[in-house]
Amino acid sequence: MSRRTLPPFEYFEPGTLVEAVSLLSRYGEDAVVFAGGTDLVVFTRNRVIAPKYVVNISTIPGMNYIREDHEGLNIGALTKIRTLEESALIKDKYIALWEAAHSLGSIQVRNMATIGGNVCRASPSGDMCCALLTLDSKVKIFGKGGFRTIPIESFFKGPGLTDLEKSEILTEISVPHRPANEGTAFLKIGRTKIDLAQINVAVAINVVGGICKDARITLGAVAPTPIRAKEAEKALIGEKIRTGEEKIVDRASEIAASETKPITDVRATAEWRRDVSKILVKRAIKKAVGRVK
Amino acid sequence: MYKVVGKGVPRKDAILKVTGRLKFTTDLKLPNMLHAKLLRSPYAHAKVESIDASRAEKMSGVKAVITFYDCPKIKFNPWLDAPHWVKPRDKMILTDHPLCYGDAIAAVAAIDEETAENAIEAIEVKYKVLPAVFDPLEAIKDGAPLLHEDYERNIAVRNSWVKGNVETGFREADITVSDSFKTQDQQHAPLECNCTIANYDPLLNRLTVYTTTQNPFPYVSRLKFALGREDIDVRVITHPLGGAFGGRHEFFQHDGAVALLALKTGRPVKYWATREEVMALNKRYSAHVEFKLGAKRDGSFVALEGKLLANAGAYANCTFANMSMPMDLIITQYRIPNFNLEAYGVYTNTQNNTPLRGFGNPQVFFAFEQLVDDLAEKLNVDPVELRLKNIAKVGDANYFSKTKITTYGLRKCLEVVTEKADWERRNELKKEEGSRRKGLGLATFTYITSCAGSTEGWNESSSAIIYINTDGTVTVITGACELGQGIYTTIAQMAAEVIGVPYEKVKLELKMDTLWQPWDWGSFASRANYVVGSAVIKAAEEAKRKILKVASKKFKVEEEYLDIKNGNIYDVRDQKEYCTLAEVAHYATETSNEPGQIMGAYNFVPRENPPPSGAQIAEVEVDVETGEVFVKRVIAAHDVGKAINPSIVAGQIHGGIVMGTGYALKEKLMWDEAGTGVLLTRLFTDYKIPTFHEVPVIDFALVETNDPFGAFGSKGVGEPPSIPTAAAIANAIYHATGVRIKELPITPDKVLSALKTHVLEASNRHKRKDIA
Amino acid sequence: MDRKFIRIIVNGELKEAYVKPNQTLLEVLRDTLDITSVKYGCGTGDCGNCTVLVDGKPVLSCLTLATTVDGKEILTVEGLAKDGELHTLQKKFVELGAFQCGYCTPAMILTAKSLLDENPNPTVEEIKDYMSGVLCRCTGYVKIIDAILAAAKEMKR
Repeated sequence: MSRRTLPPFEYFEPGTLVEAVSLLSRYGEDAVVFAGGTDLVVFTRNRVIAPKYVVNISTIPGMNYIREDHEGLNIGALTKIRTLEESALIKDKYIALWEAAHSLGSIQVRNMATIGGNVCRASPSGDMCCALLTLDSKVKIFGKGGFRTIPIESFFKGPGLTDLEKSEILTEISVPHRPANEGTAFLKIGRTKIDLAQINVAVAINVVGGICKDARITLGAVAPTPIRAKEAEKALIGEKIRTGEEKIVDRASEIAASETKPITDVRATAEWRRDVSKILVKRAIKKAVGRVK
Repeated sequence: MYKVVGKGVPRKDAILKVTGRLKFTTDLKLPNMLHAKLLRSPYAHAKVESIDASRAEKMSGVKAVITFYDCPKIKFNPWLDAPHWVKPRDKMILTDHPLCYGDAIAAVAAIDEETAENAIEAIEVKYKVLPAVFDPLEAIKDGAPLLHEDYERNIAVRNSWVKGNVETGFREADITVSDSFKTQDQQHAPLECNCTIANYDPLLNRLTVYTTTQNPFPYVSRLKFALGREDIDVRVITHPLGGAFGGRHEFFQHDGAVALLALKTGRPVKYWATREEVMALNKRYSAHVEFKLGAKRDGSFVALEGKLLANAGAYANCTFANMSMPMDLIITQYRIPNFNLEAYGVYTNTQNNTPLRGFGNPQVFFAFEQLVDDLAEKLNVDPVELRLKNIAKVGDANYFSKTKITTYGLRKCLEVVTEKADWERRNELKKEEGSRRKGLGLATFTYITSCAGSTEGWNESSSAIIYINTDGTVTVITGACELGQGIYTTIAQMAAEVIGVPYEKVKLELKMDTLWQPWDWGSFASRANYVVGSAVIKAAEEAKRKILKVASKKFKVEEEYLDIKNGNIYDVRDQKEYCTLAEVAHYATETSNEPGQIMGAYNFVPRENPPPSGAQIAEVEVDVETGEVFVKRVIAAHDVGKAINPSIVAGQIHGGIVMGTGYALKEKLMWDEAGTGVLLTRLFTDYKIPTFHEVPVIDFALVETNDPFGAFGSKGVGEPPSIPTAAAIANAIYHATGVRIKELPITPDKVLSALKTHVLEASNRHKRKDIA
Repeated sequence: MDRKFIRIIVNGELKEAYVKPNQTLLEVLRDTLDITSVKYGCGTGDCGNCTVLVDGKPVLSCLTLATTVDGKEILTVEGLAKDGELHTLQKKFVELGAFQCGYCTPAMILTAKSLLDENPNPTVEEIKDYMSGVLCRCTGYVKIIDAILAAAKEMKR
C-alpha cells in the first residue's frame, strides 16, 4: 500500500556527537540517523523502514566543512552535495569528485543531501561513493569507543550495508592529495540526466613519461557495491599510455567489464550494463589521461 | 484580419496560475471533511477469500469502512462518453475478484490521512492468488486464465475493416512488405494526482462531487448508474485540472467508493491518490501490430492486411474505440483499394486502458510509418514521394467520421518539413562523429477533431450561453472542461471576435459546474475548441444580432449598417460611433419596450470532422557504443486549420512532441510478471518522463487550411503532436544506423542489441560474398 | 519530543506552529498554514513540484521534516508579487504562456528565481541544468526556458 504520510516517531536533535551516539546506542535497531533526509524520508514514507527514533545529526556543529591540509582534502560528513559542487577547490583539484557531485540528482536534492548520507546509504550506484572509492578515500567514524578511520573500500559491505555499527556516525571523509601527474574523471549514464546511475565510473590514472604508473578504476551500479576493477588496473599499470593508445585502453576496459556482476532491473539489463561498462571505462580513462598535466 | 482570434493573448487563468492562487481539486478543504483511502489488490489476479475489517472499524478516528460486500453489485463501463459504446460493462466499484494490481477491494473514511492509511493496513484480507497474464498474445491462448466470464480467449472486443479483395490486390502487387511491431503500456503521469471529494446532504438528497474529471456531465450519469441511485441529485464541480491527457476520462472505482463513504457518513469525504496509485490507475494500451502492404512498382498501394492486438487490461473501457480509430485513420490517410484489417481488444491482468493523447494512433502509426519507409527503400523512392503518391485528397472518404475529408494540409506539411530539414540532402549529412551516428526520419499522421460521425446515434453536442452585461462585459457560459489546454482562453477569444469587444471584456467562470452550466460531453478527442467553440460562436452571433437590433431601434439606423468594434457600436459607412456596448446593454435592460438582458444561446451538434494532420522529422544522434538515442531536433508542420491562439498552439506542439519522445525512448509500465504481478514502475524514480534535459530543439510551422466547418476554421491540436514522434524517431534511427527498431520504448539495450545483430549479419554477408 | 514549536518566516511573515516530528514541511505549509501553491506530485523527491525556497535555496518540501526548518525563511510563490505587481518572472510566464495546467508553475517560478539570483545571465544549458529537478508534463519545457531568458534579460536592465 502506498502512503503519503510518515509513520510516527520520536525525534531528537542532539547537540554533540557524544549525545547522538548515546541515543543511537540506547535505541539500537529502532533508531536511524537523519542528515539530509533525501533517502531517509523516502524510505520511511514507503515503509521500507519504520524507525521509532530519528536522531537528527544535522545540527551538530563542526561537521560541515571542506578543508585542505598537507595530507589532502577533508570533508565534513554533513557537507551538502551542492556545497561540494560550488567549491572551486574541489572543481580545481579533485575534478572527479566535482563531476560526481554535479551529476547527483537535481539542484533541490543537492541542496539537501549530504556527502555522508550518500556514503552511508551505500547504494551500489552512489555517485559520491564511486568517485571516493577511486580517490582512495578514508572515512572517519565516531562511536562509543571514540574515533576510528578506515579506507572507504572496507566501508562498503553490500547493497545498503556498511561497516558502521548501529551506534556509530560517519563524521568525515578524507581524500589524499592527488599526485601531480594524475588525471581523473567521473562518468555517469542514466535514463535521464537526473536519474540514478545505470552505470557510473570513476577513474584515476597516473602517467609519468608516457607510462601508466598507477591506475584506479571504480564502477558503480554493476555489482552489490561500487567495485574497483583491480584486474583492469593491473592491465594498465606499466603500459604505455598516452591519449590515443587504443589497444591498451580497450583491453583494460574489457577486463573491467568482465569484473562486473550486473543485474537486470527496471533501469537496465545486465547484458547492457556489462557491454556499456566497457565503453564507459574506456571513455573515462581517455578523459582522465587527457587531464594529466 | 481578426482582432483577437489568431493572437497569442495571455490566458484567462494566467494570473491565478503564476501566483499559485488557483485552487486545484487537490487543494480543496471542506469543513468537517474526512479522508478516504482504498484497499487495493497487491496481486495482478486473485480471489478474495475473506475480509475482516473489524479492527479497522474499531480504530479511533475511523468513521466508515466499506468492502465489496457493501457495494451495489452493478457492473459498469468506466468510459465517460459515447453512451452507445459503454460496453462491455465489466467493472465494479469494489471487487472480490481483483483482475489487476491496484484493483479496489475496500475503502475507509477517517478523520485524517494517517488514520485512513492505518485503517487500510488493519483490514485483513485473505487472497487466493491466481495465475495472471500480461501480454495479449498469452491471454488469447487456450488455457490462459480467463478474466471475465463470457469472454472467450479474453477477447473483449473485436472489429474489422474490409474493402475490395486483398488476395487479388497482393497478386497485383509488384512488391510486398510486412512486419510486426510492439508498443508498450504508457501512463499519463499528470502532475496532479487524481482526487475526488464527495459531500452528501441527506435533507436535499444531493451529492456534490468535486473531482478531477475531464467529463463532468457524463460523470453524473455514470455515478448514478454505478451506485444504482437514479434518485440522487448529483452536482459535479471540476476545478481546472493539473493535467489529464485522457487519463481522467473515465469513472474510477474511487469515485464510486468516495460517494458511498459520503452517503454512509453524511460528511464530506476526500480521496487523493498517491503517485503510486495513479501509476496503477490506467494506461495507454500496449499493442502487437502487424501489417502487410503491397504496392505497384510506381508506388501506388494496392493491398493492406493488418492485425492489431490491443492490451485492453483488466477492463475493456474504451478499447473498441481506441483500437478502431487508428485503423479508420490509416485507411483515411492512405488510399488503399483493397484492405482487410482486424483489431482485437484483449483482457490481461494489467490496469485498464484508457485514452492517452492520440488514442491508439501513436501505436499504429509507429508501425505503419516504418513500414512505408521500408517499402520506399525497397522501391528505391524517397519516402516522402511514396507518401505523396498515396495520401488522400480533399473530398475522399473519412472512414472515422463517415463523411468526407473537408480540408487536408498534409501535403503542405510534408513540403514545409522537408524544406526546413533540407530533406533532399539528408544522405549527404556528415553522419559519423566519433561513436555518434546522425540520421533524419520522417513520419506523418491524420487525426480527428471530436468524435463527430463516428458513433451512430450520438450527437456529441456542446452548448453555450452568452450574456451581454450592462457594464459592457460579455459573460460566456459553457460546460467546457479546462485540462490545461487553455479552452477558457480560446472561447473567450472567439466570443470577443464575434461580438467585437476587447478580449479583456470577456468573462467566464474558470471551473466546471453541472448545476448551472449547459451540457458538455467533456474535453477529449481534441474536440473542445471545435464543438464548444462553435457553440460559443453561434451564441455570440445571436447576442450580437440582438445588440444591433436594439441599437438600430435606438439610433434609428438600419441594422445592416451597424457593427461593433472595440466595444463600440458604429456605422460601417462613415465609422461614426453611436455608443458603447455597455450603453446598449443598459438601455435594453431598463427601457420599457426593450427586451431586457441581451443573451445568446446555442446547442452545437458537430456533423463534420475536420481532420488535423501533420508531419514530423526527427533528427537523432545514436551513440552506437552505448545504444543511447538523443533527439537533437524535431521539425514539425501541423495542419491546425487555424491557430486561435498561436501561443497556446505552440505549447501543445512542444508538449506533445516532448511527450512523444518519452513514449518513444523511455516510458514503460512494467509488472513483476514472474512474481505476484505488482506494478514495478510506481514512482517517477522508476518511470522516467522527459525532463528539461531531454528537450530537443523544436522547429515547427503551422499550416492553416481554414476548415469551413471548424470554429474559425480550427482543427484539433491537443493530441496530434504526440502521434508521429515515435515513428519519426524510429525512422531516423534507421537512417543513422541501418537498424530498424520495431519495439517501444527504444531503450539503449534494444539499440545495442540490434546493432550487434546488424554487424553480425553484415559480416556474415561479407563472408558469404568472399566464399562465393 | 512529542511536538516541536517552530517559528518560520513565510513570505516575510512570522508564522508559528506546533509540528509533529513526522510532519513534512509540505504538510505544514498546505494543511496548517493553508499555503496550497506548494504541491504534492510524487512524495519521493523526483518531481520537484513541492519546491520551496528555504533561506533562498530550492529544496523539496515533501522530504523536509518540519522540525528542521525552525528559524528559517521560507519563500513560496505567493511571496513573489509585491504591492500588487508581479515579479518579472511571473510577468514573463504570463506573456509567453509558459504554463498550461499550472500545477508545476509555482515550483518552476521559485526555482527560476533562485537560478537568476545565483546566475543573472544563464545560458540555455545552465537553465536546463538548474531547472531539471522540476517535472512538467504539459509544456515540453520550451516556453519555460524562453520565459526565464526573457526575465533574465529584463532584470538586467
